Amino acid sequence: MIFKFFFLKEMKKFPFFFLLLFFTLFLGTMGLMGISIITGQVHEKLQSNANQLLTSDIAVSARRDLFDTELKSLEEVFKNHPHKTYKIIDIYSMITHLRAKASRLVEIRATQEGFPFYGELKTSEGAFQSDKLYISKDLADLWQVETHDELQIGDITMKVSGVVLDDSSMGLRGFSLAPRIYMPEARLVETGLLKPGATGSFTYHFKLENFSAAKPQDIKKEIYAVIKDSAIRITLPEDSSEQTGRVINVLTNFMALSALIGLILSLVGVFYLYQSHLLARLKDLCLLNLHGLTKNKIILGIIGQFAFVFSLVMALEFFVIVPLYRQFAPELSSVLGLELSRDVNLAASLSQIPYLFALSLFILVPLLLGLMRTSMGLQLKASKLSLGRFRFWDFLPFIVSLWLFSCYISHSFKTGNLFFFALMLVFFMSTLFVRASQWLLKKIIKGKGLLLPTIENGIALRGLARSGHKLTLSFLSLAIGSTLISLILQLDTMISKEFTLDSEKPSLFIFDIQEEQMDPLLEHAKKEGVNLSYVTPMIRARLEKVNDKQFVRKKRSYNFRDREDDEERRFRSNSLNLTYRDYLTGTERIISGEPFPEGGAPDDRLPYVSLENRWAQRMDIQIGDKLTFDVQGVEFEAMVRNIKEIKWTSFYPNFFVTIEPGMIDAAPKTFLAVLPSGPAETKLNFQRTTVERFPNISFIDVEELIGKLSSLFVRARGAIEIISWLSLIVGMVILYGLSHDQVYRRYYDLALMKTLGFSALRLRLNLIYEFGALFFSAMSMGLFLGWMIAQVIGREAFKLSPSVDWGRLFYPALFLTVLCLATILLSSWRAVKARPRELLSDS
Amino acid sequence: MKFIMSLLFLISFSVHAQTVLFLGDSLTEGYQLAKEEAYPALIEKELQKKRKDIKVINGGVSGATSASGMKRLDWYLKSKPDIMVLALGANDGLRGLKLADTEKNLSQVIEKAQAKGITVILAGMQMPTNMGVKYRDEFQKMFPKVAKKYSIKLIPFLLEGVGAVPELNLPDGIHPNAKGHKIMAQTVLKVLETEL
Amino acid sequence: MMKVLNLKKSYGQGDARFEVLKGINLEILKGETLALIGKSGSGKSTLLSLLAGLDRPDSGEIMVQDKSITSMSESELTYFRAHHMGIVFQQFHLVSTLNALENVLLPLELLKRENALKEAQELLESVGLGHRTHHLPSEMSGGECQRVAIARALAIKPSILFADEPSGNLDEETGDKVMELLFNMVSTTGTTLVLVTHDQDLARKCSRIIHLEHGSLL
Repeated sequence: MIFKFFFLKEMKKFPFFFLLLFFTLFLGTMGLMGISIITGQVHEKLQSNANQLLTSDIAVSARRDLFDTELKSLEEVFKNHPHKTYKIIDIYSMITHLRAKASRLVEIRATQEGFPFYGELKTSEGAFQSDKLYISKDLADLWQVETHDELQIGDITMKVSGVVLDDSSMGLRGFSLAPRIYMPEARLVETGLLKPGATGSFTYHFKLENFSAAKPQDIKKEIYAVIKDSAIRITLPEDSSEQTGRVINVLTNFMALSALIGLILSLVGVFYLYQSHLLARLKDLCLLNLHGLTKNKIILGIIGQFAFVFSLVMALEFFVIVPLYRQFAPELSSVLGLELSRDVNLAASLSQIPYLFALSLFILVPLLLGLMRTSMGLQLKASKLSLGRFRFWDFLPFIVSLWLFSCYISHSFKTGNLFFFALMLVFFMSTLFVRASQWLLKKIIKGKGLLLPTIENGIALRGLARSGHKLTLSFLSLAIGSTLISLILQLDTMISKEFTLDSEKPSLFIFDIQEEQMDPLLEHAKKEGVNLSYVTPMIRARLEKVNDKQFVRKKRSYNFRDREDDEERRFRSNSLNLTYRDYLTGTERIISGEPFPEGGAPDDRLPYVSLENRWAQRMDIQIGDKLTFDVQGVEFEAMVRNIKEIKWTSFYPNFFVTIEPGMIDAAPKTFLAVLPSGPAETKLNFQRTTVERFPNISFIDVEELIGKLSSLFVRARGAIEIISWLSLIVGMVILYGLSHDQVYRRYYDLALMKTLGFSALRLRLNLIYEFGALFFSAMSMGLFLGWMIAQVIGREAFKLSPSVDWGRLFYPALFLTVLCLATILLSSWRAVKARPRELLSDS
Repeated sequence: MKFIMSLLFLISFSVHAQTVLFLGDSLTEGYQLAKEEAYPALIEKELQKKRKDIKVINGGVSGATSASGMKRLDWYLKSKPDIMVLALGANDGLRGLKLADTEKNLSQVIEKAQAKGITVILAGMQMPTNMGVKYRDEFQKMFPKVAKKYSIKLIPFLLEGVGAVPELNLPDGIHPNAKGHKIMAQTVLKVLETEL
Repeated sequence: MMKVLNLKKSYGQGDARFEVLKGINLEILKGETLALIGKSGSGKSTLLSLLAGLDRPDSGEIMVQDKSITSMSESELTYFRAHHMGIVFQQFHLVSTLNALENVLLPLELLKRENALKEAQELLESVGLGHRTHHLPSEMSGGECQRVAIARALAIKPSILFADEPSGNLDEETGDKVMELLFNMVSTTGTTLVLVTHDQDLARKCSRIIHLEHGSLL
């Protein structure tokens, strides 16, 4: 068809425009795709981390072996889902190390073939074999058990085949109270340790052959439907570690937001590109119209052009970028410090294409409608061409689809809504600000000359005051750009802080330290060259009354499905561990109320008590409530002084209730302490010698667990940094383009002023005043709004604590200012240097 | 405040009823249960049906080992117990501690109590089968041995009829539920009543 | 008041090199109205731009009031132009963000003239736009814009006024009116006028006509 040809010719005539359009669309959608590749992979890595911690996709466990009927029900459920399975039994037992003639408490992990489905166990003798006996590294180190030693386990004796050097599985508990040994489940029966009366953990692990048919979450529901006994728990990888689940969650949300931000920024660019392009083409389009091409056909043609470029972008991404990525994934991995694999899930990206196309197209609607409203005949006569004006509701299709897309891509209405309303906020604030400023400026220039105080100022102010809607649009774009950049930066800081473990990580928890042992233990520790930290008293008590009313148990109907409900039951019994302290630890933060005063509880008032946030919510207790405790036979009252929040990455034992010192200090207590991470040799020695001297003191080794979580966090942070930078780059490119465009429009004005006697310097000053004011105010507003929005979205979508990163407010401000000024100067270079000759007729 | 507290303490126990102290761990405390559901409270209720002047102190602390016995006894001496039911040692066993130490700790507590004129009843315990035959045996034999040494009454097995019975325990399989505690109360009463 | 000596100007490079002006010699007297006429491509706009100091010749000299503008530096030239020359373009070329009054005010305040505001107001009135002082270029017709441009060009009381096809973008009637205004003002103020046009009738209204053809004066 004629107009198809015409439009192809168009692309040859205006290569620059189409190239820019292509590039902008590419950046915006590439952000989405690139992000989904990288974080899809990291997501998978995190998921596999979680899988490794659990060792399977689904774990069905109880404190007793499953009955035949229950096993049959499980079989029924899994009949439709191809899978592999094994059983693990974890029990504690006293075994005898024959060579040393010593008995030790160990955790026996009895496995079957297939263990583990995810992750691996590295042993000193090669690959792990489930039919052999292995000991854990700390058993070897602490108690000097060696390979080929014989261990008496119950009724049988087995030879140690090797030492497990690294076990990626954590089990459901996350840590062990005693060193582990690994033996075949078949032989565990022979040991006689499973006689009636035995307590332990019996777990059936399942690995799904493929996830497309059903996801673990769905299968979990199916199992709950047929197995009703509350004693049986179903655990998925993300349940098994609160930290892992949270990391995955935050990453997913952040990825969604960033992708969205990148896309919006690029669409702003697309809008501007088309606006100037259509204006440039307007005369020719009017001529076409005059010669019989209807407006409808013209608009269809433009849409066709756009669709063509869009498909080229998609083609590039799918047929060039993806194969390139696959080729260079290893190199990219080492450069980025992430482990990227060659796999790319194209299905998800492909399914987004129609939405992306619609969204991008909708941003053009106001322009196309403006074109519709242009009376083309008149335009041909007019000396200066202008597109028909667009109205606010022309943007509605874009706004609505943006809202929908936000919710879709973040898989949550909450996050989508928050983000969308944040953008609307920026929109309204910008419009308001610009209108107000223009009104003010008009008042200032009224009746005055140009010297305000200099001509450059005078012209600049007038430029700002009079550009009407154009200014609003420019301001809005700049404000949105800065807002989004600031949002990403602030969120990045907040998330990175959350995903950073304290440099002092705990290595051992030490508990059951009797009062009279505390000082001797500290001395002992000093002698051994270790510094114990977090020495905390622990006192057992019951919560009797709240505000003089008997504490009422929450009689909820729960189905004991999750850990949460287990905890609910525990709380129902109102027993708890108290501690007394007048300082906050590094992992605590008061979120409402006043901190404890110094000096402990005086005699003239009730002692104060500090409660953990979620616990207080569960118990329905507020600040100011009077609580009555029974501390091992003694009742006393206290008043709630503050509510505190405990960092979720805290690995320290946390207390829900903390009392001011001076009240219960004399009550019977035990102490907790923490051994911070340090050299392995020192840790071993300390453990050995401490157990010898203080046999009742117990240890929990958390070093491995924390190490694994630490690397998990590092990986997540890495991904988040990359995503942030991607969006930032997009944002800056767009801002540059916008700035450039603004200035370039002034070409003729600048040339004229040059003719009239303005020096290059003065011309530049004029531009700096006018656009500097515009950029600076838009940018400041954007940065501030971005910070504010980050606090809200951070709290609601990511459950982060508020923060102000002044550095990230100040330096971007500085940088963006410099960027904008540089843009102004660069873009105006040609105009400023232009020979006035170009103003004359035959140029 | 502290002065008033100690006064309260004395006052609540000064009208001298017969006071029975239960010094134990989670089994005595009533882990995950309300105070009224644990066996000491059940015993108090039962006894008060017959005589009004009985007072029971629940000195159970979850997780306590025998090493904590001495200090805690000191704390409760203030309330001048007449009888003490000593139900410690289970956690020592679960942690695989040396039984010689457990025996020593229990002995010290009994000696101190007897020195103060308190009648002691010892509650015997058993370890689950997974702990191994040898350890189980040693552990189980410890209690009658100590009881004999100090000529005190022994409750043969605190969890008689309760241990390892799923319906009488919480889902963790270790701690008795409310039903289980009822049975425990009966088990203890059988011996306690002989000392009242 | 203006002497042009052997002015030459070429564009392009190498094979594409094209000589636009092939050695122009010219003298312009004070107060005269000179029409520079020629077809498109004759080089008349190029000549005008050189005379107005908007461009540099390849060789030759231009003297204005005994000062050689061809040997001035860029800033000196700008200064000179700002003080002594007025230009009216074919496409009005008003600053889009300034209203009529401010556009006229611009050169006045640039030169820091006293009573600039009053003068600008009077000038606008003299071109018949005293009632349109606050209108922006986008709010005025082509003819009105051109009249503002004329007022602006004359604001500094230049010694010489250059006009490049000033009525080229206007319809006949408006164009005539604007030209009439231009001639009136020029004669009232005694300003020298160099007018580039392709319109013979318009050229005849000037005191002298010179023809430019293929880069040379006839």
